[in-house]
Amino acid sequence: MANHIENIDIVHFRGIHSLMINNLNHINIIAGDNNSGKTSVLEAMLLLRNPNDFTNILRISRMRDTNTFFSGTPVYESFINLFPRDIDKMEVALNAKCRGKSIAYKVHGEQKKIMMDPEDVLKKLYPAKRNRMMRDMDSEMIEVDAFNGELIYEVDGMRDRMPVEIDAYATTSGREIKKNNFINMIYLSPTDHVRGFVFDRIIRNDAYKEICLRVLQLFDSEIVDLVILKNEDNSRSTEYIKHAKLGNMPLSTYGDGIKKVLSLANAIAQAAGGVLLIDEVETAIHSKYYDDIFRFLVKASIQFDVQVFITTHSIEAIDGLLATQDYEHQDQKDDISVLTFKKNSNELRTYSRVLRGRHVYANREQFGFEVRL
Amino acid sequence: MNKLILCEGKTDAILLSYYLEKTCGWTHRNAPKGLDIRADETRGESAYWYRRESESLLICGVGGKDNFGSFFREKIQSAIIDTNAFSKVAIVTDHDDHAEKSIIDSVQASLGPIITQIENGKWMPNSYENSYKQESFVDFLLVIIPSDKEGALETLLLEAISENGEDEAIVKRSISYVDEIRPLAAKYLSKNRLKLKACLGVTWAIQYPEKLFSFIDDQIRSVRWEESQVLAQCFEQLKNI
Repeated sequence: MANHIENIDIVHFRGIHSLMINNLNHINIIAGDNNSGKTSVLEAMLLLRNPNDFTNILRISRMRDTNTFFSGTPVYESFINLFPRDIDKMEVALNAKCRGKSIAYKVHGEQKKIMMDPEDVLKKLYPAKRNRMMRDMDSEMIEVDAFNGELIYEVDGMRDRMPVEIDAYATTSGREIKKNNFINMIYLSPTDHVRGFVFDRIIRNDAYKEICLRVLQLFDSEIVDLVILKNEDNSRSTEYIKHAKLGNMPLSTYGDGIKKVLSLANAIAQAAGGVLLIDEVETAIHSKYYDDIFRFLVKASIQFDVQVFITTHSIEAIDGLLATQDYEHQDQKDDISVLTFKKNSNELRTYSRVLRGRHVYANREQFGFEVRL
Repeated sequence: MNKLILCEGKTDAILLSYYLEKTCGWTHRNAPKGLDIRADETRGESAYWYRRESESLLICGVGGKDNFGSFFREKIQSAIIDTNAFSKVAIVTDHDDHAEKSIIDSVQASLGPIITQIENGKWMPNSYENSYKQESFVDFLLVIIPSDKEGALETLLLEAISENGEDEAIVKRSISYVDEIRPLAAKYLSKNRLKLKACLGVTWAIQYPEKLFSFIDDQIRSVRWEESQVLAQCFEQLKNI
């Protein structure tokens, strides 16, 4: 059973304040209504992925904007949106216990105006915007919004701090990404499965590929293999599903369900020895497949020593995940917990409820427990 | 908000549902989503929901006076701690031949740690820690029947029937009859509780012979309990649920 993150205390992050989540389990189902903070909790956990790297927090801030990468919110604005609006200081902070170590993470600072050389600004802009700005520019130096502060990172009392600065024209491209991850952590968004490249990790391990193929055969019994082939015309790699009757079919011709299963399976292999964060697990999977797919998910996560955090709106998905355990017969062992959050804006605090899967299962049986509320 | 009444058995539950419908307008409804408390009828339990405007009331028969604790622990406690399911809880129990303090102690043992503040016939504020580790509140009422003397629900019903002069005579004669026959029927009427039931049974058999083979539901619903002063006094606080 993987339990890399034992507990977490999100001090300030987006709309969350003072959220303590204790007794984390191997599989942690984060249930709740829209806007209850489920995705924010996953994002906050990602701060632990590479806590001494400022690029990490910038990448996290951009995750919600990835679908509109070229026309969406500026990086600076995405970053500023990580800070709670309902307190008078700019601070993102969390504490956690991971693999027996106490971790403290904090980014704090202030917004101010800085003067920038227009040349420096122009270098950071896309051509269309650059031309527009060159037309409008009429001064030698321009005033720009900026955040100035520091990142503090502490492991078992050993503190490291670094100054951080980002201006309104900053981009994430070209920034160094430190490779020394504190913990291997993979985030799977509700739409990642439609982007392609969802089985590169699976095919590196023949035994695992066989297991994944058996899950895919739930959808189509004549799927026989997964292959990545190079297109001779443009020399790009493309993912194909080998079908007994149809031959090699590009993955793009298959439905979202198959892509989702592959992307889940791939993410488990990517997260080996670490943590997998799955946002809205139910997306693209018909509820009739929940039992089989979730059984595979739980089994594979144990095999790869992956602690899993799963957000969901779906009570059927929660029931499906609980059904992976045999609570009527198994001993007190329980790999699942169900987490729910409740914000109290008057107290500036978010409360957590962490219930063991067995308890939720019994409540569901006894009174149809609406565990998402 | 949701309210809860726990009573000993199905008869009590039927009487309470009838009485609260007639006097306070609680009408039957299906269980609200996510709070479908399931009773085991083979164990004499019952669970029925009622509505009044936006409020809901659950009346449960727990399958006997010794089952308040187990019913509460198995079927109610998690709903309260995990979902703050009920804002008001009442227990209606027979006085029998117990002292009031011993009844309160027993209820406290059954409902703790959620309910700790208990007085007979008085709504008491109680607080508990829910599964979000927040302090939550629930008002609690204990109704002992009869309130101030030994007896049971049947005592109350016989007193209510006796409010009518003609029926009072029937009640008196029924009690005399059961007293008279008791030595011959010792194996059926060994306890006072059973004797009381027999007194009510004889009275009803005389008042409503055509209902003799009807279900208890029919029998109870054939009396206009809502007009009784005795019941009005006994359930005065319960009507505030």
